[in-house]
Amino acid sequence: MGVGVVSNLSLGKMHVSAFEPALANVQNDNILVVIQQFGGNDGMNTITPYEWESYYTLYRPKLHIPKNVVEPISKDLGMAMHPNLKRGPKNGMLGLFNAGKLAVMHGLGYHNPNYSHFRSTDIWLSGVVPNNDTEPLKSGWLGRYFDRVRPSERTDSPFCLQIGQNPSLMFLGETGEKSIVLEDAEQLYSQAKSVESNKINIGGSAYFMSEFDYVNKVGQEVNEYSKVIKKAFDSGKNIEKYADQPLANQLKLVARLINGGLKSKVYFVEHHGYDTHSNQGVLDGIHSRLLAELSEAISAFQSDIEQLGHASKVVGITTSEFGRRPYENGSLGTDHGTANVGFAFGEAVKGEIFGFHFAFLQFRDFQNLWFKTDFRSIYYEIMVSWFDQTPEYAQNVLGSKFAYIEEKGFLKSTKKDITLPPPPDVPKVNMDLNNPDNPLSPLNITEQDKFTLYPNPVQGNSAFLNMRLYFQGSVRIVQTYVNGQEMGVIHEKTYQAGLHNVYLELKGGPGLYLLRIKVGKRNHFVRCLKI
Amino acid sequence: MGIISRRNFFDSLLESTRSRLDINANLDEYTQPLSRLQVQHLLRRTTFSLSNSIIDKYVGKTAGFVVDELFTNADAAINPSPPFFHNDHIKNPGNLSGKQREEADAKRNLLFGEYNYVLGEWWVTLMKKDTVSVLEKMVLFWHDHFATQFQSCDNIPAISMYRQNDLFRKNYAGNLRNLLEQLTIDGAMLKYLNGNLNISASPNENYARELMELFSLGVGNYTEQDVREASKILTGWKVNYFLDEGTPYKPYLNIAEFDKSTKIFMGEVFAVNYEVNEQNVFKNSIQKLIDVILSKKGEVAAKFISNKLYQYFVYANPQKADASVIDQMAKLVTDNNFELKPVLKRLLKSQHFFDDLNVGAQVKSPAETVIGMLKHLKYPDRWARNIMATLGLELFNPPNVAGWKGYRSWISTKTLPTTVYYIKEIINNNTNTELANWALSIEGSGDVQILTERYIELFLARPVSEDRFKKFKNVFLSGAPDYEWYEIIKNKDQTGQRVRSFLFEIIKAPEYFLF
Repeated sequence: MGVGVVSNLSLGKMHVSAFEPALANVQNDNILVVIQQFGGNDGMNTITPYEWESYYTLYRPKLHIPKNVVEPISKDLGMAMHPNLKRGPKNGMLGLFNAGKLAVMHGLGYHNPNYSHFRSTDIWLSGVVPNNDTEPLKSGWLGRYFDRVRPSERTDSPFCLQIGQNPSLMFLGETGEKSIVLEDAEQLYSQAKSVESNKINIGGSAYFMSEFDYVNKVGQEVNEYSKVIKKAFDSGKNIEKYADQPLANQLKLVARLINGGLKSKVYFVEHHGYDTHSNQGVLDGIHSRLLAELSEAISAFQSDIEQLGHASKVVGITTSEFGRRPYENGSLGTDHGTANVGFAFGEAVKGEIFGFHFAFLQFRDFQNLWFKTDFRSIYYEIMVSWFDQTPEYAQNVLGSKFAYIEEKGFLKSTKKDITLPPPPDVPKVNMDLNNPDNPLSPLNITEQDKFTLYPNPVQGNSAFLNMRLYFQGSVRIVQTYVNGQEMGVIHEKTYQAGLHNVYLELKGGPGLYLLRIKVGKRNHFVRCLKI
Repeated sequence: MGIISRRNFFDSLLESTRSRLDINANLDEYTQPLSRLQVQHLLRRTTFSLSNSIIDKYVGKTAGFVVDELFTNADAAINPSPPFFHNDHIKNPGNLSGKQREEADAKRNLLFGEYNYVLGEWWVTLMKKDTVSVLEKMVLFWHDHFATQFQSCDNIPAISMYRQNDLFRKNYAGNLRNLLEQLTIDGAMLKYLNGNLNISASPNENYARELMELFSLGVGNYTEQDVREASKILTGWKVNYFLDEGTPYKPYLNIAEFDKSTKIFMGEVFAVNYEVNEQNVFKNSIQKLIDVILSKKGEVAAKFISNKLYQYFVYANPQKADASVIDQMAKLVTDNNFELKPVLKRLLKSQHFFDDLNVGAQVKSPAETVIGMLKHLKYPDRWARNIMATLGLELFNPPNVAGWKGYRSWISTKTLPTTVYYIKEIINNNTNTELANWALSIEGSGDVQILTERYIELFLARPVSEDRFKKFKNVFLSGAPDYEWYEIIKNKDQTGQRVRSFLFEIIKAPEYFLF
């Protein structure tokens, strides 16, 4: 479904030659900071639809952020920030928003969403939405971007710097890696000293030589860059006080390196732990803690950058592989979803809200939402408006042009471009309950339904089955031996969506049995031990 | 032992640069006696741990002789003693109570967690011990090909992972057909790719898709319809882990969940016109499915596996000039009805394999760097397993179902300094005396020239230029003339210190990361 996409260039198979002949120069010394929220941030509890009844009753009966503690940011749109987003210097991210330095971008996502962390992370990092689940994603959008960008003047700095452990796909270009990965500038410096740093000329066979040169080049890069980074680290400083937490420490290092004169264009930091399938918690839970860390780190960084005098040059964005589902699950958590909220911060961003709350997006299936803005719109705008490259160049990197978010874009420097495609439309959904195309059709549901038998082990024959159904459906329960052999139907009835306690009369003597519970077209199994 | 003169040593460096187009694409046997470099080439590609005395033993022998030994020795080693926990079966803690439950819970946590690390250590030990045998290299090949991660959503117990590894070991160079059949109902695989959730009422396509995409044919060689039908054919197979729920770890068919409808896969009709029991379903569904894949798409499948074997043993980035070699391999695979030993032997003995263009062109994985060093030094195998994991190759836990990316992905600005760092750790776990003992155990080590040659042949992909050779040698001598070495080695502490510095220089060299 190519809504909002001009051409359908298959990027996964694109070769470097697609970039010919455009070699681009570095256009300015603007810097991008990317904060990756690994695991899939729960956007609905980050910016809450605080005036929407369904949020409290239908979607998050247990996991909602209470209305009386949230920080409204738009009465008209019914949006409020999680209270922890005011943590950090100058009222945290809330303070940044009020000062016009934080853009809130709703409904970021892509077509045919993938629910695997790895795959969806790769999709975001590559800037490629593949045609199917198996198409390999071989390079990242910034890797491809820097494949053909050359420094306008001689610079010793790596194009990109990643604070973390493993090289990110985002920086892998068709012609190799475009980033240096480090956790600690001094550690890198000392480790790099044990790597061969000279160019060695050797004879030998063609293949050996090409592999040799590759390893030799990586070694030289490590060595060269580690010195540059160390130098920037030694001459840079921080002014703002940061919380002593992993994300804050990473951003603190970034600010110091920028201040020390490192000329890298992109910095990448990671914030882990957003995969809140269970015990996500409310105000004192895991997710709230993560948001506090996020707010503290971003606001301290922004304040630091301002005091250090680099604020006009630095923009940050947050990304996360997907949002979580509107419905909470049965384990006080939320499962992998689709569209999500993203932030951009800095003096150069428009301090606005983009899009209506994504919770009001239509469902694309029985539990997931459509997106509103293709995430690559953000990348496209960064390349064109922040890095000042030509639209053609950005198009080559991403395979097509992308509409700016809400057509106006989130950066102050963005100019209206009528050649861009329109933003993607949220398709109309068939709402006829009897139509199998209706994503809310009972035929399409129940994966998230939960069943708990109690007591278990069962003494005697009587037990209760606690069922949580998300949609109306016929429920048929068959008791079987563990080998699958059926003993008979023990319950059959149609239920409305919601919580039900069903009394069951179990068959057979003491032993282990299975209850096969068929709801609509899907099967669930509950193990039961009779004693 | 033949001591090579300096002249011969440097003659083995090629003066001219040949392009890939000049490659000898002939799979006929290379019949000349093998040179030192050729012995290193063959053994580095087929084993993890090399020593100078092993090289000495095979110099001058023919490729045919050495390759036959590699397989004979592998055949003899396929039954190593299993890890201690392989029979640690327990009852389902969920069905127990009180103290019994606590104990079973604790055991379960070990089986689903810690024991998988123990298993990695067990394999490291085997890799280290395995010399002049292609066994462990092939087991790792299969682990990468049929990649299964113990650390998936719900961990896979170590006993299942062990059984899968044992399957690879027993079939290390066996028949692809048999491997595909066995893997389809392998306990770890059933869990990893959700075969155990693939039931008639709700088919799960995960395994069916990977079976064709990653294990047999490659993407683009099957249709979505094939995936749907294959998943129906594969329904009903399960594995239990607990004593009170059947025979633990033994895959079985749950007849009730097997789809008894008629399926049509790649044009073949799969009718269930037989008595539905485990044996019949295995024969008429699983074996037939694999047979249809391998007969309808035999050439595609043969080429797919040949390409992978080629990348693993010869060059990870095959070019046009290599295509005819891979085609010849594929033909051998089909001619031998998917028996892989003939094609492997043919490849490893071939003129193509020994073409100088192929020597030293592979990028080492952490298995090659870490195990290659481990063999000679004192270092706990468990820690070695952890280092490999840190460097990106965690045994029993590949990054995803496609296995490791391999090739140049092993060397990045992050992994290169970290690899050097950890190899130094291994070296530094040894005292000067221990390092000196190693050096002095090398035949001819009294001559610093020979010692330098011996170390270089052990760790670097190809001989180095005269200049660099002098530089390396000088680390032993710190500027003293060669004959001083006879004095230096009288003092073990001093010798060890110099060996340490020398090794640090060696592991810096770019060709230390190639083989």
